[in-house]
Amino acid sequence: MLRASFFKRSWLVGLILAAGAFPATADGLTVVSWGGALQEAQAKTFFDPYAKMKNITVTQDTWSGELAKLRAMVDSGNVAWDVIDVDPQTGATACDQGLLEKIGSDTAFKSAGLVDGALTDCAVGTSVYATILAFQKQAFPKAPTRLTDIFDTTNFPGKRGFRKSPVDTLELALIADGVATADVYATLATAEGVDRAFKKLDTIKKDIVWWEAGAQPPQLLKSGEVKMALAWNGRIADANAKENADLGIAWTNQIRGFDMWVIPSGSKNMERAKDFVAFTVKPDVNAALSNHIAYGPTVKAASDLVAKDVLPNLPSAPENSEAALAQDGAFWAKNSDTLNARFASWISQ
Amino acid sequence: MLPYGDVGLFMTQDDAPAAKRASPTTGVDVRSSIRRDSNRRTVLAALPAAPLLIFLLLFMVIPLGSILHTSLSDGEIDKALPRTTHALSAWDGEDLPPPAVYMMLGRELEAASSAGSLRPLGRRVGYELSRGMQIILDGHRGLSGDFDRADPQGWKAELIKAEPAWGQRGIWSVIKRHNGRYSAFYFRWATGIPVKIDADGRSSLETAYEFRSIYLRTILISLIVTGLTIVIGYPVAYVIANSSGGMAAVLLFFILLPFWTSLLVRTMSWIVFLQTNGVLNNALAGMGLRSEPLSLLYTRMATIIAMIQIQLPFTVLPMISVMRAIPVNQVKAARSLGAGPLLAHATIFLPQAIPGVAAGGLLTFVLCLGFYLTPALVGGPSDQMVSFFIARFTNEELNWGLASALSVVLIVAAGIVALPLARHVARHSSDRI
Repeated sequence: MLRASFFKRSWLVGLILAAGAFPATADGLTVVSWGGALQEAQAKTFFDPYAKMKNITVTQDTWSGELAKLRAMVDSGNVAWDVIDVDPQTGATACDQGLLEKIGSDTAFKSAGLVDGALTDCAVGTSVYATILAFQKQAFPKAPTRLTDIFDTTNFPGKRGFRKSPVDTLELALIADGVATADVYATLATAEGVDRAFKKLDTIKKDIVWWEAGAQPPQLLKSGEVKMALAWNGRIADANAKENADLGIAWTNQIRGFDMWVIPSGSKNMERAKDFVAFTVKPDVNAALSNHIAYGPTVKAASDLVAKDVLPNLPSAPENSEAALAQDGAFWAKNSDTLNARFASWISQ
Repeated sequence: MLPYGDVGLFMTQDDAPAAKRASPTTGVDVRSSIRRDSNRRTVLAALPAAPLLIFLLLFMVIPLGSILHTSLSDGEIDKALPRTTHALSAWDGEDLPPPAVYMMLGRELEAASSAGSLRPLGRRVGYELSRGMQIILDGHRGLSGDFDRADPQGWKAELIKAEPAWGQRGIWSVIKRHNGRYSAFYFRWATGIPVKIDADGRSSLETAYEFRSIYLRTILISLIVTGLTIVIGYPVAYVIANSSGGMAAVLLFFILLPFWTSLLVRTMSWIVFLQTNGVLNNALAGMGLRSEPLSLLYTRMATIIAMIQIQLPFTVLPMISVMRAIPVNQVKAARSLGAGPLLAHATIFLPQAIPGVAAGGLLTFVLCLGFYLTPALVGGPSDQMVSFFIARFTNEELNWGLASALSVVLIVAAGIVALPLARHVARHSSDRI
């Protein structure tokens, strides 16, 4: 009698617990990435296999690196995201502002065999992407060969697309103005260097069309709105492969970055989030992403597993790597507040 | 006008000494009871307007009040560091504050951290001081263990070691300045007064948003759109007001068409129309008029053209209603007395049509000041109006104080322009009602 009622009650308690647990996604994972071709590739390589393996639901959301959203979640203690894809500068800035868990010291990631720079205090790199110059092949008699050609309005007239962010933009302006790749960040750390970058940008400001989401540049190029655009290489390769876009890519001066996973402070699924991140840096899983988008692996052991036919499209291919610059997350963490404010004010004038 | 003002007056008479009310025979009381009666009728007559008044109170007065409140609220620093701001009121601002203040600050930083107000504090400091967030967070991170120890020098050394900015005046003068819950800080920022200081407390030359030029741009675009809608709309309104039957109906239909399509759809269709390989450029190229396509999208011209199309009905409809009321015979009389068509129009018709022009123009101007979607979609970054920045600070930078102050300034500016005109319009149109 007593026993029976106890069972009944525990059944009830279980139901209540289950109901309460549902909205908190205790049995799921919310992953945020940058949408479009990248997120589709990540879904095929990371999200779906992981969800199947663990028999959980992986919920997806998208963003474009707007930290305010993350900041609002962490400040209010209501963190809906578990794992977020960031570029090095967003990761370092958010880490510096205390928005992220410091997962970089976990042995699981330390021992994963990541390439230099792919593991920082808060972030674990999963793929290598590059900002490159994409162009309409028929737009110019002589095709552009390097990213700095975007500043050359004499040989390459017409509208050009830039990402609406000081990141990569200011670096490239300095390189175009004659600063050596190795000195870019040292120059940008000085007030004169910043002035110099903005002065260089002034020369083409009226020809710039600004984009915000990674899926926009292929769109702008295809519709003819711009003739050339800075873009993420995987998005252009994807548009060429799937949408017959026939866009050219200039690789010299590419600015290389990592897509990195971070976990926001106060994530409700911390352990599962870490487990998921560890899953994506297993060599075979890590290598598989390159089959779906032209981004390279971050795990050393994965390099040999990448299919041979996609290698020439990756940022790491030797023939693509001339004068490559690696995006310096630490520099941006220190300076992003100031430079973002200046950029936003400059662009609105 | 309803004599609302009188209600209060009579209420106070109602509270007059009971002795007076007790003697119904005196003339004063008869009069006052008559007045009370008419007063009650006035209140009853106003009752049908009550839903509107309640609606306005709930959805306009209260939100506006809260926006004003947000724009003046500036309590993050005082809330997180109440004792430090108090102690700093005695600080002269020349040298660094005494070590005891460092100790107080260290303890309050720790308390703020456990109360969750450390990051809001850092963000608020960052509005005035470059790297404010890092200075606050690094300062707190550098503090070691025992928060009860009484060792002012040790606290000072620890803070400065963690973040050298604590050894400079800038951060201290920011804290000192904000010893209350309200300030005009966001209004100074929104009206273009430089608010940033550097680590030493001097006014910083760091470039910030130039809100004055953004307000000027907003007003300029609104004026251009208003002017052009009047120029385009006046002849159309004249034709519609003076024709009857089919012609008027067809013209009116075209004027009203934009009303029946969504704002977003209309704006997107401008994108399709104006883009480099869009309808207009293809047509020009097809006719052999242009070999190079015109760059029209993401320009100020695109913004103005799209806004004119959206605003045309707002300008034209008040003009039509006023023009229809102008007696046709007066113009005919002028013509029969020898005035030419233009002179008759300018001296007889136009003066009577002015209230309609003013009403339509005013409506368009005020609506234009608040445009957001159209410039955001078809304009470039340098064509964005104030609303864009209000949205940006609300949604992206989460700086609601500044967003609210920008809104209040916009409302006040619109009011200054609109009120005299609105009174003029009201005076003239009341003759006709």
